[in-house]
Amino acid sequence: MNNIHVLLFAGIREGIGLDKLILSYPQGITLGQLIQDMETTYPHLLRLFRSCQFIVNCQEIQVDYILQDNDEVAILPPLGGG
Amino acid sequence: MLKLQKDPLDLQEYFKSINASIGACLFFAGIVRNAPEDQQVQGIEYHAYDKLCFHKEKHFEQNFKSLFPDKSYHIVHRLGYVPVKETSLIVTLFSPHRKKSFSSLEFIVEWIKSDLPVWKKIIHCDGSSHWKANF
Repeated sequence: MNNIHVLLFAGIREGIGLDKLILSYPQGITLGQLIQDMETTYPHLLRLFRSCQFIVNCQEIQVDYILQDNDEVAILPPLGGG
Repeated sequence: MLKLQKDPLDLQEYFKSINASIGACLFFAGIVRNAPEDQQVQGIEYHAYDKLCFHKEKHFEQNFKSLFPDKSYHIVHRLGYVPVKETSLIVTLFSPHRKKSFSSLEFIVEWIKSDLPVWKKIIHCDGSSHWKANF
């Protein structure tokens, strides 16, 4: 199993009530599958998930990327700095 | 250079960075404001993904230097709760000349608004709140 560290921010953090999740998946799961899993687990956040950017280890990654053990996935809602 | 801090921002501090080669220094200060057209605002709570902020700024600095080779900048973004009328952001632009200084300062501010992983939660006077994105 691979442990994936999922970092949560802003409305997603508030909607889940945690700042971080550690999810265990069998090897070979893609970023897209993790996103689908999050949408299924937290259906009340579906609309917000659809406007989020997903970053892996501080890099912009395609959804077909195969997640590795200890990857850090950050879910970024629309930004509001300044 | 990027700095994220919880303490109040002090514009005077950035004059200390001026050296003998600088002939123009521009400031942009972002202030937390009330929005009378909506609900009364008490303040804004800022949150950031610090690690990604610094990672992105490294790349931005390289891009900035290629576009404006004689200029440098200093960004300080405040995090945590910032009440109305206080400063949430100071961008300082240093240049030997004024030429292109205004456009390069705007380039930095636009990058902060669109790319820096910072979020703001508007806190209203009645205790309600909501997350607001930049457009």
